[in-house]
Amino acid sequence: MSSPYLQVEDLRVAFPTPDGMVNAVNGVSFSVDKNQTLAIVGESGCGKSVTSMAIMGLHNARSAKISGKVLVNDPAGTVDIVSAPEATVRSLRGRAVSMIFQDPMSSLHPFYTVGNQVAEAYLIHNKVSKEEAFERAVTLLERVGIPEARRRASNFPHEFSGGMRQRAMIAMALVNNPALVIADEPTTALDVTVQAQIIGLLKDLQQEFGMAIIIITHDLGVVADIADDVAVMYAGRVVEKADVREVFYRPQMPYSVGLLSSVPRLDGVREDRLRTIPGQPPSLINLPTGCSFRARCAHSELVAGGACASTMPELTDAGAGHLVRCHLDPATRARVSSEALNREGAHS
Amino acid sequence: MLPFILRRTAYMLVILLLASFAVYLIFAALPFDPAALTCGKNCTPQVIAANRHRLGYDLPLVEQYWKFIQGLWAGRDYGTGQAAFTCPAPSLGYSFRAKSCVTDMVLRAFPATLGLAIGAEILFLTLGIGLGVLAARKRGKLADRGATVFVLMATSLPSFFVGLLLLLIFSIRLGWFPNSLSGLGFPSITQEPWQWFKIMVLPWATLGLVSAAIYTRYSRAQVLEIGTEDFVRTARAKGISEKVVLRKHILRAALAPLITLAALDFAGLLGGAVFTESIFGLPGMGRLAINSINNIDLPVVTALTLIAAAIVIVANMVVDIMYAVVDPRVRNV
Repeated sequence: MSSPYLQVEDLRVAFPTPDGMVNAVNGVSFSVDKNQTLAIVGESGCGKSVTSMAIMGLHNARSAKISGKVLVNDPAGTVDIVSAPEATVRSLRGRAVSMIFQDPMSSLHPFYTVGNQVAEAYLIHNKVSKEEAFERAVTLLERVGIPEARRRASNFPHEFSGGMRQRAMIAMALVNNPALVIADEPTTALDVTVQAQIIGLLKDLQQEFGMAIIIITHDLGVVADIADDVAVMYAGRVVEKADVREVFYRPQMPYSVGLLSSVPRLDGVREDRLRTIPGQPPSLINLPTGCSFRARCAHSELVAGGACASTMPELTDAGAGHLVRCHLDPATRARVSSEALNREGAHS
Repeated sequence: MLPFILRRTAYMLVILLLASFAVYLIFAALPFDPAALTCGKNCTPQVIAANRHRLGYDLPLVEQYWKFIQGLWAGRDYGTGQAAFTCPAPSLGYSFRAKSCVTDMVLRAFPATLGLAIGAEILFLTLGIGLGVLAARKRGKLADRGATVFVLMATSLPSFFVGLLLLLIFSIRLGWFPNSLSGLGFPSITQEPWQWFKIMVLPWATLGLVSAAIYTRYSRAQVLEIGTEDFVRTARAKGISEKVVLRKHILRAALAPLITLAALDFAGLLGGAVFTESIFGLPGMGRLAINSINNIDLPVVTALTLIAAAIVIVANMVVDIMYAVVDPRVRNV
């Protein structure tokens, strides 16, 4: 069995600031293979986007201290994005690994036509003429569902609607038939009606092109719709990682439980207020010793010997590849989880 | 694009008319009698009255203005009989002091100013933007600090000081460059291009150094700001090399706003760089303006003011058109 297409091992990203090191990502490991979709969820500042930028090798070496490994299993040979020379990383970027950003308006250059911008991505990595690259761009724009793609290709981004712009971004990301696409909150800036279309498009394209997708989002609806695996991040660490059904039906780490129970529901007991997780995430400059979620966790007193305050729990396999970072014993975790989700004796 | 240009041109003509009338009113309100200024000490009321009539200063103000405007395309005749003379179209009036049509005086002064403006513009744009972009790319490093020092010095030193300093060092002490103060006069660019070039170097350097600072500061800030834009991140994510990202994606967006500054600076220079022309003795519009003001030569001052206003208005139109060319979002507005 060959190794997965992308393997992230003990990735750490820190930004030196006048106030001290901001430890944005603290030892993250995961892997994704082709045809697979991994969703990374977590609240703002948990390190989702910093992780994705590190996979793209887009952090400025002057402002970010990066360690660990980001192994990309390119047919031409495995490359470690963290340690490889810039030229090698650049040859992967946009060709083998590409990215879709959150806000398609600001992510497209206002002065160049959409077709030109999509074609540019193709032109860089292929020895073709400008006309051929433009043809390729039109093909892709057509594929992502832009009507009259040939005519629209000579429009400027401001002449596109939000959904069409995001389609164009997707065309740009896919123009080189990449093996991995990272989508960083691809639907956040879009209308709700358009969001579902974009996610549907990504799913279709994955079927067709067979690429791996990492989708970064805090929209759990999107996760349920598209993901195979879910990694929940908190304060720069993965705190729970499992198959999407496992995470939705049997979340074990109190933070994931909190995230899921804060989704408003139409079934079950109507509540007056939406549920929230009390408190704030910890400062990434001085991360507390012990579990970073301790201060917001209602269950740390259930752990004997104050382990939550003294040691960071390891990410351990709770069975069938369901990884959890929590000191609570499995039985207590299951009880806490099902109580919070109003699902007595939950089944998958 | 064409309707856009036509509409702008129409606006421009209206603004020019309003501006010219305003200038005319202001000069008419000055406590000088233009007719009395036309003759010297041994003046008689009869001579003044005759000149007043000959130059049209006895007409009502609006009529005077109309004659002026008419002169622009029809030329203008002054007086009748033996003492009559004509300023052909486009006539900007007649200077009794200089015994010359104002248009001729302006045309004689314009080449020096145009040469100065073009050279200075090229110099401060390349120096200013080049240094600004370099400073932005080497942010916090020695080149950036050097640029900051340059900006501070150049913005705090006035052009007449820099001009005098350069003149003193490079022309008078070192003798590297001639100056037109030596009584040799100003060479013509067509007959003695090399001599002309050598005389122009120091004036160019003066304006170039002083004005470059603004461009350095502005382009540095712009490159740094645009560098953080999402679309630049997109460009990097495509796998474009940093050099191309800068050239194609950052600079185009960063330098577009500089068009306004560059065009208005150029307009200002065409109106006459008063200090620089005076220091280096260039027979340009700025020096013509100074001399006319000293001599209270009202027709010339009026004409120069109008020309400066017209140049600024035209420059604004050019800016609008260039903006539409550079930034597609501005088109069809």
